[in-house]
Amino acid sequence: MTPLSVTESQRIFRAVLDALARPGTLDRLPVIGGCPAPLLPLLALADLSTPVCLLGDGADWAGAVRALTSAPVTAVSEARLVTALRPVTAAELAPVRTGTASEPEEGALVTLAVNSFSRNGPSFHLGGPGVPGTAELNVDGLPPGFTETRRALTAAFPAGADFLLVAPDGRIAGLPRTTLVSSLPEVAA
Amino acid sequence: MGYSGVKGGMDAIGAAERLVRRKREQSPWLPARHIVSRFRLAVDRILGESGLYDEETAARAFRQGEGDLTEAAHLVRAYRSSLPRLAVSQVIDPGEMTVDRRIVPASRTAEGPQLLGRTTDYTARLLEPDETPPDPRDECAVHMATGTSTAHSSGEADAQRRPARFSDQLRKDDLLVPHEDDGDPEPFDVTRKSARPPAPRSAILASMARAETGALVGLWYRSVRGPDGDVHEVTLGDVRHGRLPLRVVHPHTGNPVTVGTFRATEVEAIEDLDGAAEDRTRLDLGYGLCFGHNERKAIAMASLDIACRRARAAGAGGELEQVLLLTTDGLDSGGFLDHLKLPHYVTFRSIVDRKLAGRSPSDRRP
Repeated sequence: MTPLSVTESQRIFRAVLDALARPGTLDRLPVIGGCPAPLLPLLALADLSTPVCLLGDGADWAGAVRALTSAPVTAVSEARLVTALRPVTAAELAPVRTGTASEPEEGALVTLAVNSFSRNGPSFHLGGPGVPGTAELNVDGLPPGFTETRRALTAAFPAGADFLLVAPDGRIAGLPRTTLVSSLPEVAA
Repeated sequence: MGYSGVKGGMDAIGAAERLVRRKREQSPWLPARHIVSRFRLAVDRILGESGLYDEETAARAFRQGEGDLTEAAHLVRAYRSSLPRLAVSQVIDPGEMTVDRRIVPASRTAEGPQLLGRTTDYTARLLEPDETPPDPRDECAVHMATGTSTAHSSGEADAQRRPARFSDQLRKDDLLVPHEDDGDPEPFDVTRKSARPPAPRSAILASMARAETGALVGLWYRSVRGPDGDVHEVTLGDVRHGRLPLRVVHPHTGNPVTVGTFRATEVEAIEDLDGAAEDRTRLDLGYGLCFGHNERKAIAMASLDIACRRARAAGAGGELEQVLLLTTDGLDSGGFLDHLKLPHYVTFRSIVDRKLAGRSPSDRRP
Protein backbone atom coordinates (compact mmCIF):
# COMPACT_ATOMS: atom_id res chain seq x y z
CA MET A 1 0.00 0.00 0.00
CA THR A 2 1.32 3.42 -0.87
CA PRO A 3 1.20 6.25 1.63
CA LEU A 4 -1.86 8.46 1.63
CA SER A 5 -1.64 11.52 -0.57
CA VAL A 6 -2.04 14.93 1.04
CA THR A 7 -5.53 15.25 -0.43
CA GLU A 8 -6.59 11.85 0.85
CA SER A 9 -5.22 12.62 4.32
CA GLN A 10 -7.06 15.92 4.39
CA ARG A 11 -10.34 14.37 3.28
CA ILE A 12 -10.10 11.64 5.89
CA PHE A 13 -9.24 14.17 8.59
CA ARG A 14 -12.20 16.32 7.57
CA ALA A 15 -14.59 13.37 7.57
CA VAL A 16 -13.41 12.29 11.03
CA LEU A 17 -13.68 15.84 12.34
CA ASP A 18 -17.19 16.32 10.98
CA ALA A 19 -18.32 12.90 12.24
CA LEU A 20 -17.19 13.73 15.77
CA ALA A 21 -18.54 17.28 15.60
CA ARG A 22 -21.99 16.23 14.42
CA PRO A 23 -22.84 12.93 16.07
CA GLY A 24 -25.71 11.21 14.34
CA THR A 25 -24.80 12.43 10.86
CA LEU A 26 -23.03 10.24 8.37
CA ASP A 27 -19.92 11.33 6.49
CA ARG A 28 -17.98 9.54 3.83
CA LEU A 29 -14.35 8.51 3.80
CA PRO A 30 -12.63 8.50 0.41
CA VAL A 31 -12.39 5.09 -1.22
CA ILE A 32 -8.77 3.99 -1.41
CA GLY A 33 -8.03 0.80 -3.28
CA GLY A 34 -6.47 -2.00 -1.28
CA CYS A 35 -7.26 -0.47 2.07
CA PRO A 36 -10.28 -1.29 4.25
CA ALA A 37 -12.22 1.85 5.07
CA PRO A 38 -12.07 1.39 8.87
CA LEU A 39 -8.27 1.53 8.71
CA LEU A 40 -8.20 4.96 7.05
CA PRO A 41 -8.61 7.16 10.14
CA LEU A 42 -5.62 5.48 11.74
CA LEU A 43 -3.46 5.87 8.64
CA ALA A 44 -4.30 9.54 8.36
CA LEU A 45 -3.87 10.43 12.01
CA ALA A 46 -1.07 8.21 13.31
CA ASP A 47 2.58 9.05 13.45
CA LEU A 48 5.63 8.36 15.57
CA SER A 49 4.08 9.75 18.69
CA THR A 50 0.73 7.92 18.64
CA PRO A 51 0.77 4.34 19.92
CA VAL A 52 -1.75 2.32 17.92
CA CYS A 53 -3.52 -0.99 18.36
CA LEU A 54 -4.99 -3.06 15.58
CA LEU A 55 -7.58 -5.72 16.23
CA GLY A 56 -7.09 -7.29 12.87
CA ASP A 57 -8.94 -9.41 10.40
CA GLY A 58 -6.14 -11.85 9.70
CA ALA A 59 -4.13 -9.88 7.17
CA ASP A 60 -0.94 -8.36 8.53
CA TRP A 61 -1.93 -4.72 8.68
CA ALA A 62 0.35 -4.03 11.60
CA GLY A 63 3.38 -4.16 9.32
CA ALA A 64 1.79 -1.83 6.80
CA VAL A 65 0.78 0.62 9.53
CA ARG A 66 4.28 0.67 10.95
CA ALA A 67 5.84 1.22 7.54
CA LEU A 68 3.40 3.95 6.50
CA THR A 69 3.10 5.91 9.72
CA SER A 70 6.08 4.92 11.93
CA ALA A 71 3.53 4.52 14.70
CA PRO A 72 4.47 2.10 17.49
CA VAL A 73 2.06 -0.83 17.69
CA THR A 74 1.03 -1.59 21.27
CA ALA A 75 -1.60 -3.31 23.36
CA VAL A 76 -5.12 -1.88 23.60
CA SER A 77 -4.50 -0.35 27.01
CA GLU A 78 -1.63 1.83 25.75
CA ALA A 79 -2.91 2.85 22.36
CA ARG A 80 -4.03 6.35 21.48
CA LEU A 81 -5.69 5.07 18.31
CA VAL A 82 -7.46 1.70 18.31
CA THR A 83 -8.87 0.18 15.15
CA ALA A 84 -10.99 -2.96 15.08
CA LEU A 85 -11.23 -4.50 11.62
CA ARG A 86 -13.18 -7.51 12.89
CA PRO A 87 -16.04 -7.90 15.37
CA VAL A 88 -14.83 -7.36 18.94
CA THR A 89 -16.22 -8.20 22.34
CA ALA A 90 -16.93 -5.89 25.25
CA ALA A 91 -14.03 -7.46 27.11
CA GLU A 92 -11.60 -6.45 24.36
CA LEU A 93 -12.72 -2.83 24.59
CA ALA A 94 -12.69 -2.60 28.39
CA PRO A 95 -8.97 -1.68 28.71
CA VAL A 96 -9.19 1.19 26.21
CA ARG A 97 -7.37 4.30 27.41
CA THR A 98 -9.57 7.02 28.81
CA GLY A 99 -7.02 9.57 29.97
CA THR A 100 -7.56 11.48 33.21
CA ALA A 101 -9.54 14.48 34.33
CA SER A 102 -6.50 16.74 33.92
CA GLU A 103 -5.36 15.08 30.67
CA PRO A 104 -8.58 14.02 28.92
CA GLU A 105 -6.86 14.30 25.54
CA GLU A 106 -4.94 11.14 26.42
CA GLY A 107 -8.11 9.09 25.94
CA ALA A 108 -8.20 6.84 22.90
CA LEU A 109 -10.02 7.27 19.60
CA VAL A 110 -11.51 3.87 18.77
CA THR A 111 -12.59 2.98 15.24
CA LEU A 112 -15.00 0.07 14.96
CA ALA A 113 -15.79 -1.66 11.71
CA VAL A 114 -19.57 -2.03 11.43
CA ASN A 115 -21.68 -3.78 8.80
CA SER A 116 -23.90 -0.91 7.77
CA PHE A 117 -25.97 2.07 8.84
CA SER A 118 -29.15 0.75 7.23
CA ARG A 119 -32.52 0.84 8.91
CA ASN A 120 -32.21 -2.91 9.51
CA GLY A 121 -29.80 -2.34 12.28
CA PRO A 122 -30.55 -1.46 15.90
CA SER A 123 -31.46 2.16 16.55
CA PHE A 124 -29.82 4.50 18.99
CA HIS A 125 -31.06 7.76 20.36
CA LEU A 126 -28.36 10.42 20.42
CA GLY A 127 -28.30 13.70 22.25
CA GLY A 128 -25.82 16.22 23.52
CA PRO A 129 -23.30 18.64 22.02
CA GLY A 130 -23.38 18.72 18.26
CA VAL A 131 -26.80 17.09 18.06
CA PRO A 132 -29.65 19.52 17.38
CA GLY A 133 -32.32 18.15 19.72
CA THR A 134 -32.07 14.42 19.32
CA ALA A 135 -30.98 12.22 16.48
CA GLU A 136 -31.46 8.61 15.57
CA LEU A 137 -28.62 6.45 14.35
CA ASN A 138 -29.07 2.94 12.98
CA VAL A 139 -25.99 0.77 13.26
CA ASP A 140 -25.73 -2.87 12.33
CA GLY A 141 -22.65 -4.68 13.64
CA LEU A 142 -21.82 -3.10 16.99
CA PRO A 143 -20.48 -5.44 19.67
CA PRO A 144 -23.10 -6.85 22.03
CA GLY A 145 -23.55 -4.62 25.06
CA PHE A 146 -21.83 -1.73 23.31
CA THR A 147 -23.92 0.92 25.03
CA GLU A 148 -22.89 -0.46 28.42
CA THR A 149 -19.24 -0.76 27.43
CA ARG A 150 -19.24 2.80 26.22
CA ARG A 151 -21.00 4.04 29.32
CA ALA A 152 -18.24 2.49 31.45
CA LEU A 153 -15.56 4.13 29.32
CA THR A 154 -17.15 7.58 29.48
CA ALA A 155 -18.26 7.49 33.11
CA ALA A 156 -15.39 9.64 34.38
CA PHE A 157 -16.02 12.57 32.04
CA PRO A 158 -13.98 14.58 30.92
CA ALA A 159 -11.83 11.48 30.80
CA GLY A 160 -13.21 9.02 28.29
CA ALA A 161 -12.83 7.40 24.90
CA ASP A 162 -14.26 8.56 21.58
CA PHE A 163 -15.64 6.25 18.92
CA LEU A 164 -15.77 6.21 15.15
CA LEU A 165 -18.01 3.72 13.37
CA VAL A 166 -17.05 2.89 9.80
CA ALA A 167 -18.91 0.75 7.29
CA PRO A 168 -17.15 -1.05 4.39
CA ASP A 169 -18.47 1.52 1.90
CA GLY A 170 -16.65 4.30 3.76
CA ARG A 171 -19.59 5.84 5.56
CA ILE A 172 -18.55 7.05 8.96
CA ALA A 173 -20.36 8.11 12.12
CA GLY A 174 -18.84 9.55 15.26
CA LEU A 175 -19.67 9.09 18.95
CA PRO A 176 -17.51 11.44 20.98
CA ARG A 177 -17.57 10.98 24.74
CA THR A 178 -19.88 13.96 25.08
CA THR A 179 -22.74 12.26 23.25
CA LEU A 180 -25.55 10.70 25.24
CA VAL A 181 -26.46 7.37 23.71
CA SER A 182 -29.42 5.19 24.52
CA SER A 183 -30.93 2.33 22.61
CA LEU A 184 -34.45 2.85 21.43
CA PRO A 185 -36.71 0.55 23.45
CA GLU A 186 -38.48 -1.06 20.44
CA VAL A 187 -35.33 -2.61 19.04
CA ALA A 188 -33.04 -4.79 21.16
CA ALA A 189 -29.43 -3.59 21.22
CA MET B 1 -12.62 38.79 30.38
CA GLY B 2 -15.71 38.58 28.23
CA TYR B 3 -15.91 38.58 24.50
CA SER B 4 -19.06 39.67 22.71
CA GLY B 5 -20.18 37.90 19.59
CA VAL B 6 -19.43 40.03 16.57
CA LYS B 7 -22.77 40.81 14.93
CA GLY B 8 -22.80 41.76 11.26
CA GLY B 9 -19.05 41.59 11.52
CA MET B 10 -18.63 38.48 9.40
CA ASP B 11 -19.17 40.58 6.27
CA ALA B 12 -16.61 43.11 7.46
CA ILE B 13 -14.12 40.36 8.24
CA GLY B 14 -14.62 38.80 4.83
CA ALA B 15 -14.09 42.16 3.17
CA ALA B 16 -10.92 42.76 5.20
CA GLU B 17 -9.51 39.40 4.21
CA ARG B 18 -10.28 40.03 0.56
CA LEU B 19 -8.58 43.41 0.81
CA VAL B 20 -5.42 41.84 2.23
CA ARG B 21 -5.37 39.27 -0.51
CA ARG B 22 -6.01 41.81 -3.27
CA LYS B 23 -3.29 44.18 -2.08
CA ARG B 24 -0.84 41.34 -1.69
CA GLU B 25 -1.50 40.16 -5.20
CA GLN B 26 -1.06 43.59 -6.70
CA SER B 27 2.69 43.46 -6.17
CA PRO B 28 4.95 41.78 -8.68
CA TRP B 29 5.26 38.07 -8.03
CA LEU B 30 8.23 37.11 -5.92
CA PRO B 31 9.20 33.43 -6.08
CA ALA B 32 10.08 31.78 -2.79
CA ARG B 33 13.62 31.01 -3.93
CA HIS B 34 14.27 34.72 -4.55
CA ILE B 35 13.16 35.45 -1.01
CA VAL B 36 15.51 32.74 0.26
CA SER B 37 18.41 34.32 -1.53
CA ARG B 38 17.60 38.03 -1.04
CA PHE B 39 16.28 37.87 2.51
CA ARG B 40 18.22 34.87 3.78
CA LEU B 41 18.52 36.22 7.30
CA ALA B 42 14.78 36.83 7.61
CA VAL B 43 14.16 33.32 6.31
CA ASP B 44 16.67 31.92 8.80
CA ARG B 45 15.03 33.79 11.63
CA ILE B 46 11.73 32.19 10.70
CA LEU B 47 13.36 28.75 10.63
CA GLY B 48 14.38 29.26 14.23
CA GLU B 49 11.24 30.87 15.55
CA SER B 50 8.92 28.35 13.92
CA GLY B 51 11.00 25.31 14.76
CA LEU B 52 10.71 23.91 11.23
CA TYR B 53 13.73 23.75 8.97
CA ASP B 54 12.64 24.29 5.39
CA GLU B 55 13.80 27.42 3.62
CA GLU B 56 11.10 27.37 0.97
CA THR B 57 8.30 27.04 3.51
CA ALA B 58 9.74 29.87 5.58
CA ALA B 59 10.06 32.02 2.46
CA ARG B 60 6.44 31.41 1.51
CA ALA B 61 5.33 32.33 5.00
CA PHE B 62 7.44 35.50 4.84
CA ARG B 63 5.73 36.42 1.60
CA GLN B 64 2.25 35.62 2.86
CA GLY B 65 2.92 37.45 6.11
CA GLU B 66 4.01 40.47 4.09
CA GLY B 67 7.33 40.55 5.90
CA ASP B 68 5.96 40.22 9.43
CA LEU B 69 8.33 37.68 10.98
CA THR B 70 6.07 36.75 13.88
CA GLU B 71 3.18 36.21 11.49
CA ALA B 72 5.44 34.07 9.32
CA ALA B 73 6.59 32.00 12.29
CA HIS B 74 2.96 31.54 13.26
CA LEU B 75 2.06 30.30 9.79
CA VAL B 76 4.92 27.83 9.77
CA ARG B 77 4.25 26.53 13.27
CA ALA B 78 0.62 25.90 12.34
CA TYR B 79 1.80 24.10 9.22
CA ARG B 80 4.29 22.10 11.25
CA SER B 81 1.53 20.89 13.55
CA SER B 82 -0.22 19.26 10.60
CA LEU B 83 2.82 17.25 9.52
CA PRO B 84 3.21 13.63 10.60
CA ARG B 85 6.38 12.80 12.51
CA LEU B 86 7.96 9.87 10.79
CA ALA B 87 11.25 9.44 12.59
CA VAL B 88 13.53 10.86 15.23
CA SER B 89 16.98 11.64 13.92
CA GLN B 90 20.11 10.27 15.41
CA VAL B 91 21.80 12.47 17.96
CA ILE B 92 23.70 15.18 16.15
CA ASP B 93 27.27 15.97 17.08
CA PRO B 94 27.79 19.67 16.37
CA GLY B 95 31.49 18.87 16.07
CA GLU B 96 30.62 17.52 12.65
CA MET B 97 29.72 20.96 11.45
CA THR B 98 31.29 21.98 8.17
CA VAL B 99 31.78 25.64 8.89
CA ASP B 100 31.05 28.44 6.46
CA ARG B 101 32.03 30.96 9.11
CA ARG B 102 34.01 30.56 12.27
CA ILE B 103 35.54 33.11 14.57
CA VAL B 104 36.89 32.96 18.10
CA PRO B 105 36.78 36.47 19.61
CA ALA B 106 38.56 35.24 22.74
CA SER B 107 41.78 34.22 21.06
CA ARG B 108 43.80 35.02 17.97
CA THR B 109 45.66 31.76 18.18
CA ALA B 110 42.77 29.34 18.50
CA GLU B 111 43.39 26.09 16.69
CA GLY B 112 42.01 25.97 13.20
CA PRO B 113 41.14 28.73 10.77
CA GLN B 114 39.18 31.83 11.57
CA LEU B 115 36.91 32.25 8.58
CA LEU B 116 35.06 35.52 8.46
CA GLY B 117 32.64 34.20 5.85
CA ARG B 118 29.52 36.15 5.06
CA THR B 119 29.46 38.90 7.58
CA THR B 120 28.92 42.62 7.73
CA ASP B 121 30.44 42.88 11.21
CA TYR B 122 33.18 45.19 9.97
CA THR B 123 31.24 47.04 7.28
CA ALA B 124 30.46 50.74 7.70
CA ARG B 125 26.72 51.29 7.83
CA LEU B 126 26.32 53.34 4.70
CA LEU B 127 22.99 53.07 2.97
CA GLU B 128 23.87 52.28 -0.61
CA PRO B 129 22.25 54.13 -3.48
CA ASP B 130 19.24 52.44 -5.03
CA GLU B 131 20.38 49.50 -7.11
CA THR B 132 19.77 49.31 -10.81
CA PRO B 133 17.63 46.25 -11.27
CA PRO B 134 19.54 43.51 -13.04
CA ASP B 135 18.87 42.94 -16.71
CA PRO B 136 15.89 40.55 -16.75
CA ARG B 137 17.58 38.70 -19.58
CA ASP B 138 20.42 37.98 -17.26
CA GLU B 139 18.73 34.84 -15.87
CA CYS B 140 22.13 33.37 -15.24
CA ALA B 141 22.88 35.98 -12.60
CA VAL B 142 19.58 35.27 -10.89
CA HIS B 143 20.15 31.52 -10.85
CA MET B 144 23.63 31.92 -9.47
CA ALA B 145 22.29 33.82 -6.50
CA THR B 146 19.61 31.35 -5.56
CA GLY B 147 19.46 27.88 -4.19
CA THR B 148 21.32 26.24 -1.37
CA SER B 149 25.04 26.43 -1.03
CA THR B 150 26.71 24.25 -3.60
CA ALA B 151 29.54 21.83 -3.01
CA HIS B 152 32.84 23.36 -2.17
CA SER B 153 35.94 22.79 -4.21
CA SER B 154 37.22 19.29 -3.71
CA GLY B 155 40.66 20.64 -2.94
CA GLU B 156 39.49 22.04 0.42
CA ALA B 157 40.85 20.14 3.35
CA ASP B 158 38.08 18.74 5.51
CA ALA B 159 40.03 19.52 8.63
CA GLN B 160 39.98 23.20 7.69
CA ARG B 161 36.20 23.19 7.73
CA ARG B 162 35.87 21.14 10.94
CA PRO B 163 38.11 22.97 13.33
CA ALA B 164 38.51 21.84 16.91
CA ARG B 165 36.64 23.81 19.51
CA PHE B 166 38.38 26.57 21.40
CA SER B 167 36.77 25.20 24.55
CA ASP B 168 38.67 21.92 24.02
CA GLN B 169 41.87 23.89 24.47
CA LEU B 170 40.51 25.54 27.60
CA ARG B 171 39.55 22.15 28.92
CA LYS B 172 43.00 20.80 28.20
CA ASP B 173 44.55 23.74 30.03
CA ASP B 174 42.25 22.96 32.97
CA LEU B 175 40.62 26.38 32.76
CA LEU B 176 37.01 25.14 32.74
CA VAL B 177 35.07 23.92 35.74
CA PRO B 178 34.28 20.26 35.32
CA HIS B 179 30.63 19.30 35.14
CA GLU B 180 29.34 15.99 36.35
CA ASP B 181 27.82 13.70 33.80
CA ASP B 182 24.06 13.96 34.18
CA GLY B 183 23.45 10.65 32.44
CA ASP B 184 22.22 12.30 29.23
CA PRO B 185 18.48 12.21 29.99
CA GLU B 186 15.90 12.34 27.21
CA PRO B 187 15.55 15.99 26.18
CA PHE B 188 12.38 17.87 26.99
CA ASP B 189 10.19 18.36 23.91
CA VAL B 190 8.92 21.94 24.05
CA THR B 191 6.85 21.38 20.91
CA ARG B 192 4.59 18.96 22.76
CA LYS B 193 4.54 20.36 26.28
CA SER B 194 5.18 23.82 27.62
CA ALA B 195 8.21 24.10 29.85
CA ARG B 196 7.62 25.59 33.27
CA PRO B 197 10.17 26.35 35.97
CA PRO B 198 12.02 24.57 37.41
CA ALA B 199 12.83 23.16 34.01
CA PRO B 200 15.67 20.92 32.84
CA ARG B 201 18.43 22.63 30.89
CA SER B 202 17.28 20.98 27.65
CA ALA B 203 13.90 22.69 28.05
CA ILE B 204 15.50 26.08 28.62
CA LEU B 205 17.82 25.70 25.64
CA ALA B 206 15.00 24.49 23.39
CA SER B 207 12.76 27.36 24.47
CA MET B 208 15.53 29.82 23.69
CA ALA B 209 16.19 28.21 20.34
CA ARG B 210 12.58 28.93 19.36
CA ALA B 211 12.28 32.26 21.15
CA GLU B 212 11.65 35.51 19.38
CA THR B 213 15.08 36.86 18.55
CA GLY B 214 14.31 40.42 19.64
CA ALA B 215 12.87 39.29 22.94
CA LEU B 216 15.93 37.17 23.67
CA VAL B 217 18.36 39.92 22.76
CA GLY B 218 16.36 42.43 24.80
CA LEU B 219 16.39 40.14 27.80
CA TRP B 220 20.10 39.56 27.36
CA TYR B 221 20.81 43.27 27.14
CA ARG B 222 18.74 44.07 30.18
CA SER B 223 20.46 41.27 32.00
CA VAL B 224 23.95 42.41 31.14
CA ARG B 225 23.32 46.07 31.95
CA GLY B 226 20.85 45.94 34.81
CA PRO B 227 22.01 46.17 38.38
CA ASP B 228 20.14 43.00 39.21
CA GLY B 229 21.02 41.31 35.95
CA ASP B 230 22.44 37.84 35.82
CA VAL B 231 24.64 38.14 32.77
CA HIS B 232 28.12 39.21 33.64
CA GLU B 233 31.27 39.68 31.69
CA VAL B 234 31.02 37.54 28.63
CA THR B 235 33.69 36.61 26.17
CA LEU B 236 32.86 34.48 23.20
CA GLY B 237 34.61 31.28 22.28
CA ASP B 238 33.58 29.66 19.02
CA VAL B 239 31.01 31.47 16.92
CA ARG B 240 30.12 29.23 14.01
CA HIS B 241 27.72 29.01 11.13
CA GLY B 242 27.75 25.92 8.99
CA ARG B 243 26.13 22.73 7.86
CA LEU B 244 25.34 19.64 9.87
CA PRO B 245 24.29 16.20 8.57
CA LEU B 246 20.92 14.78 9.52
CA ARG B 247 20.79 11.04 10.00
CA VAL B 248 17.95 8.63 10.64
CA VAL B 249 17.84 4.90 11.07
CA HIS B 250 16.66 3.23 7.87
CA PRO B 251 13.34 1.51 8.64
CA HIS B 252 14.28 -1.69 6.82
CA THR B 253 18.04 -2.11 7.09
CA GLY B 254 18.38 -0.58 10.55
CA ASN B 255 21.49 1.33 9.47
CA PRO B 256 21.95 5.07 9.93
CA VAL B 257 21.40 6.96 6.70
CA THR B 258 22.20 10.62 6.03
CA VAL B 259 19.00 12.15 4.70
CA GLY B 260 20.16 15.70 4.30
CA THR B 261 22.01 18.63 5.79
CA PHE B 262 20.83 21.73 7.59
CA ARG B 263 22.49 24.95 8.63
CA ALA B 264 22.85 26.06 12.19
CA THR B 265 24.59 28.75 14.21
CA GLU B 266 26.51 27.64 17.26
CA VAL B 267 28.11 29.75 19.97
CA GLU B 268 30.06 29.01 23.12
CA ALA B 269 30.14 31.82 25.63
CA ILE B 270 32.88 31.90 28.23
CA GLU B 271 31.97 33.19 31.64
CA ASP B 272 34.38 34.46 34.24
CA LEU B 273 33.33 32.89 37.52
CA ASP B 274 33.48 35.39 40.37
CA GLY B 275 30.83 34.24 42.79
CA ALA B 276 31.58 33.51 46.40
CA ALA B 277 30.64 29.85 46.10
CA GLU B 278 32.21 29.41 42.67
CA ASP B 279 35.67 28.29 41.64
CA ARG B 280 37.13 31.66 40.90
CA THR B 281 40.22 30.18 39.31
CA ARG B 282 38.21 28.76 36.49
CA LEU B 283 35.80 29.61 33.71
CA ASP B 284 32.47 28.13 32.68
CA LEU B 285 30.77 27.74 29.32
CA GLY B 286 27.36 28.62 28.00
CA TYR B 287 26.00 27.06 24.82
CA GLY B 288 23.76 28.37 22.11
CA LEU B 289 22.49 26.62 18.99
CA CYS B 290 19.75 27.61 16.58
CA PHE B 291 18.54 26.94 13.07
CA GLY B 292 19.99 28.88 10.19
CA HIS B 293 22.28 31.88 10.40
CA ASN B 294 21.24 33.88 13.44
CA GLU B 295 24.25 34.97 15.42
CA ARG B 296 22.46 37.39 17.71
CA LYS B 297 20.15 34.66 18.89
CA ALA B 298 22.87 32.08 19.42
CA ILE B 299 25.07 34.52 21.32
CA ALA B 300 22.20 35.68 23.54
CA MET B 301 21.27 32.04 24.05
CA ALA B 302 24.77 30.99 25.11
CA SER B 303 25.08 33.92 27.44
CA LEU B 304 21.68 33.38 29.04
CA ASP B 305 22.37 29.64 29.35
CA ILE B 306 25.33 30.26 31.59
CA ALA B 307 23.50 33.04 33.42
CA CYS B 308 20.62 30.68 34.21
CA ARG B 309 22.95 27.99 35.42
CA ARG B 310 24.93 30.31 37.66
CA ALA B 311 21.81 31.90 39.08
CA ARG B 312 20.34 28.50 39.84
CA ALA B 313 23.54 27.30 41.48
CA ALA B 314 23.53 30.41 43.64
CA GLY B 315 19.94 29.68 44.64
CA ALA B 316 18.62 32.69 42.75
CA GLY B 317 17.64 31.08 39.47
CA GLY B 318 13.94 31.70 39.69
CA GLU B 319 13.32 35.00 38.01
CA LEU B 320 15.54 34.73 34.97
CA GLU B 321 14.32 31.26 34.20
CA GLN B 322 10.69 32.33 34.61
CA VAL B 323 11.13 35.28 32.29
CA LEU B 324 12.95 33.15 29.76
CA LEU B 325 10.41 30.36 29.69
CA LEU B 326 7.27 32.43 29.97
CA THR B 327 7.84 35.65 28.07
CA THR B 328 10.22 35.16 25.17
CA ASP B 329 8.14 33.05 22.82
CA GLY B 330 6.98 35.19 19.90
CA LEU B 331 3.68 33.45 19.40
CA ASP B 332 2.81 33.52 23.09
CA SER B 333 3.60 37.18 23.58
CA GLY B 334 2.44 38.37 20.19
CA GLY B 335 -0.69 36.28 20.37
CA PHE B 336 -1.74 37.64 23.71
CA LEU B 337 -1.04 41.15 22.57
CA ASP B 338 -2.98 40.71 19.36
CA HIS B 339 -5.97 39.30 21.21
CA LEU B 340 -6.46 42.70 22.81
CA LYS B 341 -7.77 43.85 19.44
CA LEU B 342 -10.75 41.53 19.61
CA PRO B 343 -13.90 43.14 20.93
CA HIS B 344 -13.77 43.56 24.69
CA TYR B 345 -17.12 45.36 24.88
CA VAL B 346 -18.44 43.48 27.87
CA THR B 347 -15.13 43.74 29.69
CA PHE B 348 -14.97 47.47 29.27
CA ARG B 349 -18.64 48.03 30.08
CA SER B 350 -18.23 46.14 33.32
CA ILE B 351 -15.13 48.20 34.17
CA VAL B 352 -17.09 51.40 33.63
CA ASP B 353 -19.95 50.04 35.73
CA ARG B 354 -17.53 49.33 38.56
CA LYS B 355 -16.15 52.86 38.33
CA LEU B 356 -19.62 54.37 38.51
CA ALA B 357 -20.68 52.08 41.32
CA GLY B 358 -17.75 53.32 43.38
CA ARG B 359 -18.95 56.88 43.34
CA SER B 360 -21.38 58.57 45.73
CA PRO B 361 -24.99 58.76 44.47
CA SER B 362 -24.76 62.50 43.77
CA ASP B 363 -21.58 61.95 41.76
CA ARG B 364 -22.94 59.34 39.43
CA ARG B 365 -23.84 60.36 35.98
CA PRO B 366 -27.12 58.91 34.70
